[in-house]
Amino acid sequence: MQRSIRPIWLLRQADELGGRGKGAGQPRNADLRRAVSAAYYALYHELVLRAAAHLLPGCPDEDRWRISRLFTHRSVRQVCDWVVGPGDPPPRLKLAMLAIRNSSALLDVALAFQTLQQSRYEADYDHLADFTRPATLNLIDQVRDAIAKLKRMEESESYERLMAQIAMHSKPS
Amino acid sequence: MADAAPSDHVLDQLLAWVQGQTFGSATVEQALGATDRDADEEIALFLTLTLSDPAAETWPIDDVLDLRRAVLGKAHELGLTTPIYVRLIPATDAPQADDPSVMFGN
Repeated sequence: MQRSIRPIWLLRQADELGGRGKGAGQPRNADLRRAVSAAYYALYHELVLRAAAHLLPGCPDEDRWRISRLFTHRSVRQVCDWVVGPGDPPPRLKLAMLAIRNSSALLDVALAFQTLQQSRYEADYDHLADFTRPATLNLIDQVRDAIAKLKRMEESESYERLMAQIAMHSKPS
Repeated sequence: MADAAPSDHVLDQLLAWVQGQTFGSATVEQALGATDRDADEEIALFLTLTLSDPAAETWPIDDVLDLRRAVLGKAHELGLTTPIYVRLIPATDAPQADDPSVMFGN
């Protein structure tokens, strides 16, 4: 049986590792770090699957799953950085990026990606980074909020622009 | 992205602005800042904000999003061009399951 990577499953794993609903106290530190990583990958795969669907709207899931391997973390991040700022995007992309930036929902999505990617890096590599249950659950909530906003915005022009930019700037690593 | 680190003056302004602010149920009790390299080796500004303890397991997401957007907006206003990351920690650091004090009952 073919079982794809489902962002909602990663979010559930993040909740479990982050100790959601477990009462007082905090989980193991390694579990909190893995929860942040799972939450980041939930958002990464959600964005990539949506960009793949934007490229191949009428194709079977398997075609989208194959093309999703061509996206890179760095390219998705680059687009999100252009949306969030604070620096300006390249001149030829400025109008498109500012249009996306004007959507507070998509700005939240890009900000979530930027925040979670850095947090995942710290969770995996930085001994000095402090991970607590409240902050970890909040990062997971930020991903869940971003995914809900993507779904809510999927008929909008800003959403189309964002997906087009992610698709255009991805190239095989 | 810009290579220049923000000046101490601008960082101090940002920290002074955010310290003591309340976003819904979350109050910034302490604000610390530092410049460092991020995961992409870009110079970035890292804010570590100690928030009042959440009433539930975590702070309401809308309150934290307000905080993150406000910090970003202030950074734009101050002319910052480096990426900014906001790290949150609760006022009370509860023991974690593999802390020695929990594992060995000390």
